[in-house]
Amino acid sequence: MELQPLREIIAAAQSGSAEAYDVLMDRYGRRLYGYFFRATGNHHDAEDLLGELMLRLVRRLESYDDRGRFEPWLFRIAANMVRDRIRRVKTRPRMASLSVEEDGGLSLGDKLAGDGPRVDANALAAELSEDLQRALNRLDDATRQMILLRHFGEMSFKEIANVFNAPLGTVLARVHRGLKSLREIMGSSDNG
Amino acid sequence: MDEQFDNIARYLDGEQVELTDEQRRLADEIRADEASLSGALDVEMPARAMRNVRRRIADELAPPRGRRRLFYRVATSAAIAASILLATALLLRLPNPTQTNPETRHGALAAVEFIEPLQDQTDIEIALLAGDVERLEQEVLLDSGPEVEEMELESLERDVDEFWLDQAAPMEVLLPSS
Repeated sequence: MELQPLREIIAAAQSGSAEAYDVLMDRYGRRLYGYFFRATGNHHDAEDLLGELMLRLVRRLESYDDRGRFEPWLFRIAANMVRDRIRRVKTRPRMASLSVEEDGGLSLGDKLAGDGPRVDANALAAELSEDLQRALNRLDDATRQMILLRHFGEMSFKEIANVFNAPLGTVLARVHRGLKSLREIMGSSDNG
Repeated sequence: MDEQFDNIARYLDGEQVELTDEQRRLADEIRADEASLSGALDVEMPARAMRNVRRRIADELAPPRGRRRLFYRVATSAAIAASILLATALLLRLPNPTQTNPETRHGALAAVEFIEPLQDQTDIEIALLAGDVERLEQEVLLDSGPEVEEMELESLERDVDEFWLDQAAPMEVLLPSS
């Protein structure tokens, strides 16, 4: 089945079509969720941020003028939201919660449930995912965001440079260093 | 060095750029690192999260309903009733008979004598109705208190969100100053 052109979907959404927003969710929901999850480290925040982003889209899509690419516009909003969330978390004392997950996406409640060691393929994938999350958390905020925007937002270096208002070379150098760090951290965790 | 990185970035963005062997090696390394990460970074989105987000969108697109609609209807009725009462009160208090033309004074006095008892009665009724309107408004506000607060909070949050969206400084604030 041929995909409906994005321009038509956006026009329908701009006129308030709920179906059009469903299509946008189908197209971008998972990637945005992945971006938010990797940027914040927990599912609760990822869902919350995705919900907030979609509400902003409902309220702000009218202002999207279709002159540029839709995805960078969308992920730029997402990046601003993550930045605000990080800033807020840094200035707010942290509280333990049974529902809010720690790094790796496991909530304290999940951990207290004590399922014991998991040995299936899903468990191994989850473990790898948690290792990767810990490695990402060790990067500075900007480098982590740049790497995530490259992957989830499929953004060019030039687009990321615009988001960060940074020189193109600086973005590339940071992404390169960040990827190298991730490779080293992941490599050392594989060996250990 | 910056120029070298610029070239590599433009090359990786798909521009036609001539690279040295060293630059090409670095570009290949970045590509390989990104490729090796791509599968691992992806995350399964829980179906529950997808449902919740879709519900939030549907709620946002839906017109006000239920209690909110009732609240709007009662509040509108109360405002209309208050306006009618105010208009009636003003009509009954005008004109002032002491300032009328002497030729019409007799007729006006007669009218006032006729109206005065009615006016006293009307004042009482106005006061009672005004009390009812006030009570009704209080009840509506009490009944829908959390919802009203929620609406105000939502509105404030929306304002703040939009402020950040519009005014948010570029992301360089995340970059440490060099």
